[in-house]
Amino acid sequence: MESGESLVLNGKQSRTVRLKISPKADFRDVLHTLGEISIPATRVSDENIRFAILELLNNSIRAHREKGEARDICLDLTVSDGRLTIAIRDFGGGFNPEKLPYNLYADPTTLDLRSHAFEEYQKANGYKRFGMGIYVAKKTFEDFRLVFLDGMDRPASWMPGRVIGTLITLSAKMDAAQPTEIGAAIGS
Amino acid sequence: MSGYAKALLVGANIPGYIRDLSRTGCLVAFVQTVSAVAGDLIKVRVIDEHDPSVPQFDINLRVRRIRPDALWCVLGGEIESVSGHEDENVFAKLVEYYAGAGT
Repeated sequence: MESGESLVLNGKQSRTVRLKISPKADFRDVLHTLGEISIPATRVSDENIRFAILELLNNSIRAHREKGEARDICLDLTVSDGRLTIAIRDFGGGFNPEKLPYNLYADPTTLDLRSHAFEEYQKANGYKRFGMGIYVAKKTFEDFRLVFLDGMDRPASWMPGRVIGTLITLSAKMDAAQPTEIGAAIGS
Repeated sequence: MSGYAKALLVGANIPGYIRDLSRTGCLVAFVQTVSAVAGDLIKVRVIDEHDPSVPQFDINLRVRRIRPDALWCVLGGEIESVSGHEDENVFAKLVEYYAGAGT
């Protein structure tokens, strides 16, 4: 396995890294462990990838704590077929998309971050919530999917009580691997 | 990754995130362009969620470099002062909290 096609954690290479994060985890440990994972190059800097993941994890941890949900949050990073894929699965109860300060399904490049809706959302939450986690993830990754899940792990439309968690899947095309050998013919 | 907190550019109310944090400086990634240049003094509200003993506080940041990319406007600067005496203790707590990451 070429290092450019794999993830590295604690000196071990693999195509998949799975982190199980307790809602009681010290956030410093989440920060540290995420920082320790070596991520293959994509068109986005690995710093931006880490911070997009971190913001989503922060939201998931908050939702679990608010709900008193003890199950782990699962973060999977996978490299396959030239793509880096990240999946975050939580049991935080989902959220009402209509309460976001923007249309969840809109192209993030068209959103006005100075809009009244954004400002009102942030004010109403004492600037402790920016409503930016999903926006940042959508801007960072080429591909973004969000599915609410019911108690049987089936996709479900948003409905309080029926939705028990969220699965967010993000992916980005990895940079082309460097050739292992290059050469030239001279004088032929 | 030595720090994580929400940040707000005071006055303009532009949201962002503290990335690296030390006693003397930090990086702040704002979600939109900030009209500042190297040498400017800006006030940034720091909002931490993970240490309950850390309430919001303001820092005065002397901008040293600006690194915009497709996603963020990242400002690096020196922390010239923390807004109040009590806030200095809070700031020290936050730095100490993240300095312990991974230990």
